[in-house]
Amino acid sequence: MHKEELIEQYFSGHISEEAFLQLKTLLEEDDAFKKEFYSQLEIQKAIAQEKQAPLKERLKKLDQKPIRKINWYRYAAAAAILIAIGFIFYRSQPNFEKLYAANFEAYPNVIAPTVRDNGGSEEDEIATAFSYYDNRRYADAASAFEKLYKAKSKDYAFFYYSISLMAMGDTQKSITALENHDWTEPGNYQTISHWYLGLAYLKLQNKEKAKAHLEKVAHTSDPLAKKATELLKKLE
Amino acid sequence: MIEDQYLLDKLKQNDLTALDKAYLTYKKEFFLFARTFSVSDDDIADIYQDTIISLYENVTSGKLNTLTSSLKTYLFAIGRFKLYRQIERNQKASYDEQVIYSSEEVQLFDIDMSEERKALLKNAIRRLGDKCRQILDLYYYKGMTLDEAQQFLHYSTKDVLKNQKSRCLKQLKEFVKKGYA
Repeated sequence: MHKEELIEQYFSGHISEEAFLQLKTLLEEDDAFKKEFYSQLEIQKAIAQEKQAPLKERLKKLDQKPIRKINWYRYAAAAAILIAIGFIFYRSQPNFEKLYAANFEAYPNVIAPTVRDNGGSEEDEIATAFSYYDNRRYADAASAFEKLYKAKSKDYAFFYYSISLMAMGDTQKSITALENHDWTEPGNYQTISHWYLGLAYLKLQNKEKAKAHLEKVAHTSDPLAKKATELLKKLE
Repeated sequence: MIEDQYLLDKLKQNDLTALDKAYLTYKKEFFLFARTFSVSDDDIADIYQDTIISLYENVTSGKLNTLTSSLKTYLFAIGRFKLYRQIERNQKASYDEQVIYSSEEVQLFDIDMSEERKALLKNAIRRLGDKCRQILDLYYYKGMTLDEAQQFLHYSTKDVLKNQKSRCLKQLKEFVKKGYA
């Protein structure tokens, strides 16, 4: 394909995979072409930034809390209810089920957020498993990941298999799976597994085991450490 | 998926409340996902906003018509490329000039520009005539092909438009050069 056509296709956003790769190769091989394309990317970036500024402001505003008229009656009523709830829970056990619900969140799919729908059969299987997972069809996801794991013995398949079990409510099975697994790359999954094991035991009202797992998370530098510490405080 | 497509259709009609909704719906999950990378919360917020804006632009330019995955998956794929780019930027003290980064997954090229360079270019673009600005806009931002732009702007032939576009770029380059002087 002609160079100019490749550029036009790229900026139109409708570029085939093949043409994209062709463009990429051309950029590696042809210095003059690369220089020209680079300056066009600069122009695109400058125009885009200018155009995007109002949208960016709009989204930033969404992050700020909406300002509402203060309705003191409503606040007083809410406060009264909160105090009442406080009394009920005072000196009582923390509500494990609620803590679980507030903290459990299926781990994000960081493996295959593929946009394309191509590839061989193995890629297909991975994509299928993750699409079940992304669409919260956890029972289907669990069996798809289990199958994947049996075929490939990959850590991630096992991990998402266990999380799918937990998300579909099969807590005990998920615990057994996670507790008996040896990770090939513990660095990636060990801490996150402890977090989920902590939550799972919480759901089963087993405070001691929940704490033991959460402690292990709290003492790491993982982003989950903060959440684990907070949760531990609530369990005291 | 059906809801996702509904949201997409709303976006196509330029309904910005749909954009707000997408932004708020996936924000928490995106942060959870992004925090597994070593990127600051401020940067994550910035990247997430840009990701949502990319979604909007891809929909309004017609690049994205129907989803082949969930909206979340689509957003995270774009976001992941931006996160990787941010990590690369953090590791460097200065900008590499003339380096073009690429992602085959989301079919994007990206470059690093200093704030000065951006300002210079924006100024130069502002100095162009209305006609040039419109052409560059349609081509580089709205994603129109030359054929589409020719029809939209009522040029007699594609070549006339092409020549006009080259003149605009040449003029822009001169303004940029002068800006440095």
